[in-house]
Amino acid sequence: MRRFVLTVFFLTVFFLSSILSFASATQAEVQIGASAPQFTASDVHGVNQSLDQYKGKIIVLEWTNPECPYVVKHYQTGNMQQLQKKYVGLGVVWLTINSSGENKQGNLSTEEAKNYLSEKAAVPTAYLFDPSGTIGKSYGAKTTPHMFIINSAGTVAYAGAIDDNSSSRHSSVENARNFVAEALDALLADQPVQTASTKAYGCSVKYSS
Amino acid sequence: MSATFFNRCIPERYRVMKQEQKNTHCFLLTAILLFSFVMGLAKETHALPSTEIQQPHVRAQLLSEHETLSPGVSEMFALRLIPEPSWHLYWKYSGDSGASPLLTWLINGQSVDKDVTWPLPERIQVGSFVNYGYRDEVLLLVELPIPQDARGEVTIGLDAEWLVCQEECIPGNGIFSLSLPVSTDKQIIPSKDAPLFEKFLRRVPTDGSDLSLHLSPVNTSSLRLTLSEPSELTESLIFIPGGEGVIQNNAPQLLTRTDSTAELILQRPKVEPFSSVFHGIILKTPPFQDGSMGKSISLQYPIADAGSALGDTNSTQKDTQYFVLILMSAFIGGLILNLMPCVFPVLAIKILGFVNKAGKKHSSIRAHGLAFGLGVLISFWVLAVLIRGIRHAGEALGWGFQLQNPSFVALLVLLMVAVALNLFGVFEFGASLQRISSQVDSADDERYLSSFLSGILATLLATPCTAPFMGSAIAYGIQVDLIRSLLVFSCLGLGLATPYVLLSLRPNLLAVLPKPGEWMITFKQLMAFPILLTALWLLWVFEQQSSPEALLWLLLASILLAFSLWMYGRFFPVTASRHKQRVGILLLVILISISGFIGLPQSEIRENETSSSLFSQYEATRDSYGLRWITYTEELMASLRYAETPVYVDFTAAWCVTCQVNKRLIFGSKPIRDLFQKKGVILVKADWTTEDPVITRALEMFDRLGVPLNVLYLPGDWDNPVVLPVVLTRGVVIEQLNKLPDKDS
Repeated sequence: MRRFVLTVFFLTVFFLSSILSFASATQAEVQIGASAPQFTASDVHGVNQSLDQYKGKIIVLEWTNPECPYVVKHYQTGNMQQLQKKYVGLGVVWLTINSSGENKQGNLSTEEAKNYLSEKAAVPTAYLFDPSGTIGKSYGAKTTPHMFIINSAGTVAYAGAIDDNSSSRHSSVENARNFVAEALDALLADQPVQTASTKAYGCSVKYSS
Repeated sequence: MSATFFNRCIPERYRVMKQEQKNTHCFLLTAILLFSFVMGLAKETHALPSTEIQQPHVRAQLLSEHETLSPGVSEMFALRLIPEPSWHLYWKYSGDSGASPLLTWLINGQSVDKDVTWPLPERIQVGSFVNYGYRDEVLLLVELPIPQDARGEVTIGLDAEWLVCQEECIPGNGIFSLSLPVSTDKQIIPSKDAPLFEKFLRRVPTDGSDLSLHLSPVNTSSLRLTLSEPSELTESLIFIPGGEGVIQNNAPQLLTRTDSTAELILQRPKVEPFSSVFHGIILKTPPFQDGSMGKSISLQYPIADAGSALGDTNSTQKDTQYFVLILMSAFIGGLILNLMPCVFPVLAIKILGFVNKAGKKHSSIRAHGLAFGLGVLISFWVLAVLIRGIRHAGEALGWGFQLQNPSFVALLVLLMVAVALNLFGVFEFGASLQRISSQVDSADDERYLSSFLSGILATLLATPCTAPFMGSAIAYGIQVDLIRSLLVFSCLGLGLATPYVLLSLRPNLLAVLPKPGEWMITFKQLMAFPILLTALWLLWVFEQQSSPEALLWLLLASILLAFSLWMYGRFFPVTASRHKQRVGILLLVILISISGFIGLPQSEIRENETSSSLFSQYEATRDSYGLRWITYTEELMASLRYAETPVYVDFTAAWCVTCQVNKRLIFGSKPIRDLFQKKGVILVKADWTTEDPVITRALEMFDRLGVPLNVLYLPGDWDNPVVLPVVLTRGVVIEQLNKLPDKDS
């Protein structure tokens, strides 16, 4: 009988701790200075990539939707590609993430995404698919583009807009203050990031639900 | 090269300029034309500047308030934007996504840095995001200083860009120009558009610094905005934040009203950037006393002490008093638990057990009693933490656990109904637990650990009878923060354990206890009434949040639930065979699921307002499925005739049961709602709940004497509308809608 009592007791404790660990693992929207939510997603080659494998590096997450006029602005002008090229060259990991749900604007097949990357001469470290929107929602990605930077300690160092000009005009890229470049320069020089959060602008992420 | 020209003409606030240059002459138009020519930008081809431009999903016009301009005076101009139905434009703060229109004004080719005056926006829900903007025509107003030396003609130029969205977004832009004669005689001739100016000037928010407003923290995640408006009933109140980081845009805004105040509960933003000032606009219907529909406000943002869940100053005091009351009632509730039929007998048995175990040693009996009490307390703490865990897990899955969430309220109502029936003795459960109980009591162990563990078990075993009360406590615990919830559960546990501890201190008191008997049943049934009152109050809350129609379905679900529980209690009592019990449980689960499906509202939350009625010339409401219904008038039908869009008219009445069934079946179906959206169908509601000669006339046109009547008008064939059958099926509606052309083709 005592064994029964103990069993009940331990079962309760086990159940409780499992619920709590599950609850703490899932959080919506990410805070500056909080540790970056982990994820695994498949890339254009169908290979699974996880955030974990880039541990210790500075990581940029770029939310994208090729049909969104604001994303078009940064790719048509070559702005996004220049950033990718420059910082990947400096050892930064650049992950472009597409969270468009199935049958939603900007949802691409792996082939379409490959073509897009070569056509635009984009050079992110990887282009990841998140059709369920799980990754996007865990970071609270609202717009395309929406940029997040994770420092080498694995905490979020920047979240928000790519630059300070929310116009859809392609000419607005020139002379805009690029927050991502600023933050990356600071992190690469081991300096604190001056502007750590801004309001992202762009189209809304086309989540499946 | 042309790019630098171009950039010089853009006001400072739209870009960052390294050099502090004042603009002198600017060949903006040439620059732009050159620029777009050079860049070959998609959709950025311009005709020559004009006063009116038609772009995808938007018509844009540059308007002047006056026919002639007076030198040295500020004259009013506006950009008029008319989005297509179901498309929207943005306000100066666009909300979760989107982008505000950017306007650059020019007088005789010189750019003037003048800010636009924005008419009141609406709160627009797109998917899980909330935006602020305009679903209908809007005038973005500006006052431009006409030079003192102006003679002959003045040319007003505007370079504008905007974003128009439905779910997808399309940026648009235009170069406008308008040349008007200068008149030095003091005569002011209003232009043909002057009434429009008047209309939209009335929709500009007025200064709200005279309002008696109070902003206080509710807890670490929410704020309470209190508006004291004596003797005025506020039908709806919406807060629109003036920038990022003021509130969490997509959280529902809950309105509660008293005789002298209207309170709006808002959620603080979850992530940076946080605004230090609480600024924005409050929209109210009926309008404020000065006739304005919205007022801009700016208040000091209360900083929440993150360590405590309690707010500050006077509201805290009230909160604390209230909380102490809750703790007291939890303690009393715990005491009452002891009087429940399946707990009360345990009391005597347990105490006698302690006495037997400890022989005659008083100190030892006391220790057993305390160990038992501690066991009870610990199990209550575990429960509190467990609830917290469920809440966290639930929130991660996107469930809301506040009384602001109609689904949660509906669940509570159903729970309360079940609890009341249980107290009435309509059904019982947990017989197997009681079987175990007697076995545990025979467990013979000298050590205090066993008393401690049996305290835990006693709590578990008392579940069948305590569940009703626990239900309420759990419902409360799920809504507050962990600290409060732990305190409440501690009090509950203390209440339950107190008699044991007392009796272990004074075993001779046992003789004083009344004998278990019939009085306990009476008492138990009596307890059902307060629970029913709670259910009643929750129903009232639910109706406020959703709609009378949703309330009807919830009541239906309650009755179905009651029926299934009665059946379970009647035909599958706890005394029945195990097999029969299983069948009964299965049946019960099925029926309860059905009643949950019926009772829970289909859409997450109803906007607590229909601000759209402020923003179009026709009155409109939003139903519980999020569809926007324009109210039927003959004038409306006349103008829709030329709108070239399909129109769906629902002739309905609250007392018509078929109408309600149709409504739930058709408008509750997501595929149909999506089709309405895809085909750009305009929805019109003709409500015949109270006799209305206009609607009676319309019904007569279709040779009908009553409702329901659902009619689909087709663009281009207005005189042959499709009359849908009286009893609708989804298939019929989908088939008709599929015949329509897609909106954009």
